Amino acid sequence: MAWLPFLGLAVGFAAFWFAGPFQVSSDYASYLSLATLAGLDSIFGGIRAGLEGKFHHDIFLSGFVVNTLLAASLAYLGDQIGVDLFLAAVVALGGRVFLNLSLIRRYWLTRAALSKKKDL
Amino acid sequence: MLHVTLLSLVLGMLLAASLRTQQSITRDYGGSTRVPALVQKLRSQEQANKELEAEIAELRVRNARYERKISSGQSSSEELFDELQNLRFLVGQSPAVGPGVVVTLQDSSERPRDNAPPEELQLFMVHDSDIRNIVNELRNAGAEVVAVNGQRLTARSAIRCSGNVTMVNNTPVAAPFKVEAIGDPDTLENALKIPGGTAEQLAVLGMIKIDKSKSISINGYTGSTNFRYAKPGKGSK
Repeated sequence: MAWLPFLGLAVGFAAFWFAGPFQVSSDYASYLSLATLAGLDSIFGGIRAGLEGKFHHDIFLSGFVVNTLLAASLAYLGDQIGVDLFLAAVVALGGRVFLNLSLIRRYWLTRAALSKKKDL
Repeated sequence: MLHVTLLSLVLGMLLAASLRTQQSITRDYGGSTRVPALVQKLRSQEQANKELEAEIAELRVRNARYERKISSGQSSSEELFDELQNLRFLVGQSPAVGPGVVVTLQDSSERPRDNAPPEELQLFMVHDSDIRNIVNELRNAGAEVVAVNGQRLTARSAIRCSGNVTMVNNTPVAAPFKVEAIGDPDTLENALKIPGGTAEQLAVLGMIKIDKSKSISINGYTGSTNFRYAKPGKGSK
């Protein structure tokens, strides 16, 4: 069942890629990019929580929705008041994505090492 | 697992929309969307423009030299050369000197009264229409060669503001606007100063200055002279 999210990703991507020109005006492009980054962050956070056995549906679901909207609207607010919050969000979210990725890698490595030991 | 799948679906959509948007931006703006990169691009384009303009000037000089050489070689074509120089002068590609007037237009130094409506504030500024009116008035009075801030006006010139920048010959010019015109200085001055004329309303707020001059020199038009649509027609009509 672990492949289901990837299938979802592929289907969602294909739906918007081929079904039509779903693009926003260039004025709002950066907010959309940021929302995408926030989405990525949530997904990796979810995978990590799952590996740690701390996964909660409600946290994950609300985190995805709220983070995505919050990232975009904070960047928008920043642009309105002349502070580049866009960069702050990119740094914060990007940092978390890398952190989560490294943790995920570590869990998988540990798990692989454990199973090898069991085999011996 | 269902939740993750669902959100992955949404993420996929976001990714696709993001990529599509960035693609269209890259296509429209040719490269990066970041302002500094665009500024850089603009700068280098302006530099290239400048260099190309210098090249045009140089090529014109070389062209003139060749033409002279040809005409000196064959005396029969001397007439043709003269004709060519004449026509070149006529369309504004070669420099011109002569007496005339210099009209300087500038935003008023007087302040409008407090909380004046926007329409009133507009009166204190020089608009592209003011420059056009002055040029029109000068031409009507027999000005032979006219330039605005050094931009020679030709048969294809336009004076227009785009945004808050005034463009002459598609080149941005800034205030104070200096309209130079070669012609009879007295006639030109009188034409501008007729009661109720364009200059009168500008003079009320001290926005116009008219100077007669014995000798004005105006450069030739240096921009592109390509015709993309028009071709020479048949007959003399």
